[in-house]
Amino acid sequence: MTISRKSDHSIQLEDIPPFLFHVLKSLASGPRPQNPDVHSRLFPSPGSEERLNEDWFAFVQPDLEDIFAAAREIVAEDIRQMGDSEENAQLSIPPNHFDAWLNALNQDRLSVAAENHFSEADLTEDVSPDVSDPRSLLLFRISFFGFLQECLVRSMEEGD
Amino acid sequence: MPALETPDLQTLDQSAVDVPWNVVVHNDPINLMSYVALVFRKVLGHSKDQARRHMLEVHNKGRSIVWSGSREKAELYVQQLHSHLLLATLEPSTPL
Repeated sequence: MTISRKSDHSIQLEDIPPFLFHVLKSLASGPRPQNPDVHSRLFPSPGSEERLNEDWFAFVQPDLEDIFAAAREIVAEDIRQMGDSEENAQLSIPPNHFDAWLNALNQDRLSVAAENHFSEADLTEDVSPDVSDPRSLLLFRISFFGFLQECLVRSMEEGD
Repeated sequence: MPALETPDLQTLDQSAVDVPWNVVVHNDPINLMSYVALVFRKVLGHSKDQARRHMLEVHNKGRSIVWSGSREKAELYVQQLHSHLLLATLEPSTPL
């Protein structure tokens, strides 16, 4: 796979291997906030005051849900543009979608880590994906999406 | 006519109401350090150096006070930091 920055500042992933094609495709399905561990990571308490927390979950959380859903929608559309064929798959991320991608990738990484109770030590393991080991696949997923985030952050910093 | 009793009331003076609130960002092992610094610049208007300093404080000490000021604005910043999926809380700078 090659990753490059085009003249229009978009990020292009080309020759995406089938395995990564499916990992990227699965990003479009989004996190599972009904899991309590995922929910509490995506929507943490803002403080220790009971009143503040009650108000927060009543009035702020719906806005956050909308922001997260909007980001996932933009990303899902870019992923749809990849098509359904694994052959010569490529993905283009235009600069005005970078924020949405950072957000959606983060939602996914945080959710997977929370749902599977991954520790800091787990996350620093050398991760080679092993298709027979679901845990290794999930750790690889977090790592790969982190790599994509890093590419996006660097690209945004270079654009400063 | 009997004199009215003086009510036993206490009020907070303005300085207590205006106590500064801190926006605190807490460490988590998932968020990338570069991403955290980027969010500080974007949300809080930090310079590159300032953002990097706070990011390293979060990473090394587990938390960093990234902003202090009015409660209303602190709540807004915490909301914005949550929208970028950072672990942020607000707390009074001195116990109320």
